[in-house]
Amino acid sequence: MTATATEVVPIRAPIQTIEDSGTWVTRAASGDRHAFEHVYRTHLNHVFSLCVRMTGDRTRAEELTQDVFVRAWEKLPTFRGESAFSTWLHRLTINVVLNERRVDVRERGRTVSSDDDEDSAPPASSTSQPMHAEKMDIERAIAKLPKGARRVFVLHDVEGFTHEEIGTMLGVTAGGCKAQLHRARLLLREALTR
Amino acid sequence: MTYDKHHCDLMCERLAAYLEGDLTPADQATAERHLAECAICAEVLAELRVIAAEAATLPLLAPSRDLWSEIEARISTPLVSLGSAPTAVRRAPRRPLHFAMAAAALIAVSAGTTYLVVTRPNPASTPVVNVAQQPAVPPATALLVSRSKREISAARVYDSEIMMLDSVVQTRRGSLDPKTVAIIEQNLKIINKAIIESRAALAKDPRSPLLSNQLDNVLGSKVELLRTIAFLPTQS
Repeated sequence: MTATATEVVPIRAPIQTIEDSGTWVTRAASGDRHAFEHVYRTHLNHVFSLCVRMTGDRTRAEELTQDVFVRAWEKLPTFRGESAFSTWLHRLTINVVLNERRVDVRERGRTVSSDDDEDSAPPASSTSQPMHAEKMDIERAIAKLPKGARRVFVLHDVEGFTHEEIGTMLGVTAGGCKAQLHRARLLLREALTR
Repeated sequence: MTYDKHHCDLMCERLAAYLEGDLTPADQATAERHLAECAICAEVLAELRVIAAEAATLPLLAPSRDLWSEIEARISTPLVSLGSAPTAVRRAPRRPLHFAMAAAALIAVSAGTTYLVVTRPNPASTPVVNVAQQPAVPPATALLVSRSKREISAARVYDSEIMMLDSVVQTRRGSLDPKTVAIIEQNLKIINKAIIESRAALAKDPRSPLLSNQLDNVLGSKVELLRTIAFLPTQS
C-alpha cells in the first residue's frame, strides 16, 4: 500500500541509545558546540535526576545540572573513552554534587563530618512529624531523608554503586555506609506506609 | 504468627546485615527461622525489599525548563589563561613588600592629615597671609609620588611618619593626663624594643620576608599608637 499525502507515516528513525552518541561526544570534545548541545539533550535527564535525588531540591538540582555540563565541556578533551561516556558523566555529576556539599559546608563554617553532615532532617525515631498527610510517593520521601542517608540511598539503591565505592566517594567506611542505607530504608518505609 | 519481643528486637538489629548478606550462616539460619514464624518482621523485611526494588526502577526526571541557553552562555565565555599573566606570577614573591609600601603610603597620607589637623594654627591669632606669596608646599600625595619614584623603602617611609607624629605627640605631652602619658611611655618602650630587635634580626637575614613583615607590623603599631595619642582629648 502506498501512503497518500494525508496519511500519517510513522517515523521509523532508529532509537538512539546513549552509547550511540559517541560521535557527538568526539565532536563536542573537539570544540563543536552544536555537538555538545546534542550530548546535553541526550544526557540531561540522567544528570538532572541524579542531582535532584542527591540534593532533594529541584531548584538547586537545576543549577548543579548546569554546573555539570559546563564542567563536562571543560573536561571533555580529557575524556579518553576508557569508560562509557555516560559512566564518565555520571561520575562527574556525583563529584560536582559532592563538591558542592563540601563548599556549602565550608561556607557555613563547619567541617565535613566523615559519616554524615546532618542536617536538619529528623532522626529515625522522631519521624512522627507529618511529612505528608497521605501516603507519600517515594521521590518525595527520598527528598525528605537526612542528607547523609539520602546520598547513600540514592547512590546504592537508585544508582547501583557498591558500599565500597560509595565509601570512597563520601569518605566513609563501608560499614558506615551500610548503616546509613538501612537507616534510609527504615525512614522511607515509615514515610511511605504512614 | 508468634510475637517474641526478644527475637523481634534481635531481628531488628540484624535486619541490615541480613539484607546485605553479612550474617554468619548460624545467624542467617536463626533469622530465617524467626522470619518464617513472625509475620511482623517478615512484613518489615518485605517492605524494605520493595523500597529497594522501587528505587532501582525510578523513572528519569526532567528539569522544569531548558537549561541549554544558560549553559551555552557559560561555555561561550572565553577563559583567560593563567599563562598569559606571567609577570604577575613572577612578582608574587615580592608582594609582601608591595603591600608594605602601599601600607606605608596610606599611613603617610593619614599621618600627614593628622599632623595638619593637630598642628593647625588658630586662625584668630594667625595673621592673614596671601596664599599666592607662600612657597608651594607639596601635598602629602605628591610627596608620596615623588618618594615612590625614588623607591624609598617602606621602613624609611615609616620612620619619616613616625618622626612627624612624634613631634606632634611631644607638643601634646604636657596637655595629657599623666596616667595616660605613663601608659603611653610604657607601650612606646615595648614597641621601640620590638623595633630594635626586629631590625637586628633583619640585619642578619635581610632577605627574610617574615622578618621584613614583622618589622613593618611593629612600625605600623607605633604609627597607630602615635596617631591615637595625637588625637587624645586634652586633660580637663
